[in-house]
Amino acid sequence: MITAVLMAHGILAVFLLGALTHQALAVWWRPARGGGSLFASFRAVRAERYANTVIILFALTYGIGGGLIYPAYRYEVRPVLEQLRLNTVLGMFELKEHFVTVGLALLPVYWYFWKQPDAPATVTARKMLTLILALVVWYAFVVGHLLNNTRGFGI
Amino acid sequence: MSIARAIPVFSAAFLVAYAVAMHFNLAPFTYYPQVGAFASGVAKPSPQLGPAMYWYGWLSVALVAAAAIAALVELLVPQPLTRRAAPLLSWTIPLLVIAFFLWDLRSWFIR
Repeated sequence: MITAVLMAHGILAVFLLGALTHQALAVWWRPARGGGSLFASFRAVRAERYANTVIILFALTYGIGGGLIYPAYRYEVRPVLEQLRLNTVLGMFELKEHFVTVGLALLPVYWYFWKQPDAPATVTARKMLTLILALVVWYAFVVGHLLNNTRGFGI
Repeated sequence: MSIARAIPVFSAAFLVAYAVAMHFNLAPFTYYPQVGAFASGVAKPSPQLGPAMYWYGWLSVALVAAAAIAALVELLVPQPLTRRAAPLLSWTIPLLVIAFFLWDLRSWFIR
């Protein structure tokens, strides 16, 4: 059961990562007119259309991770990591727990500023909030995989 | 009073309250995931109950504190001031809180 939940968490995280990466690149690095490359097309999206999707995906991913997976991690996985003295891995996961909570706390204000995507006074706030959320999700994604494959990475 | 206008204050206050709750371990309850039981306050791990989780307690502290602070600010602080400050504080406070977490948890990485 927990394996299925972990896979659902991972799949939702991939969708979230894609949406936030599209949005962050679109607001930070708009392609020049006529840019026809694949990477330019990746950036040439309407950033405001991703906001609600990001919020729903983040809440779902966080809810599954924090509500269903984290308790099992706490008594099945973490004691083993502690016995193996894998402090770096433990510390990275501790940071993940707090960083994603930063992301959760930002969702209301992220929604608030993105509901008026053309307001000039909040352009920087929208760009920075999107960037922070994207970096938080990238960090959480990478650390989740590192933790899942700790023995293989030999950290 | 507008709930929408209080949103930036709520997010910022949640972050600060969560960081304080985590740093000082201010949890109104403890969760024992191995047995699915709760205990009031900051309870210790035990051989019978297994490891203790305080994270849900910290989240609840942050939620209640943020709602109270947002309501107070909305009532007491002039709206033009919050409207001007909100865009800047909305992203500077999260960056400061992230920096605080890195500093607070540095012992995991220092051998």
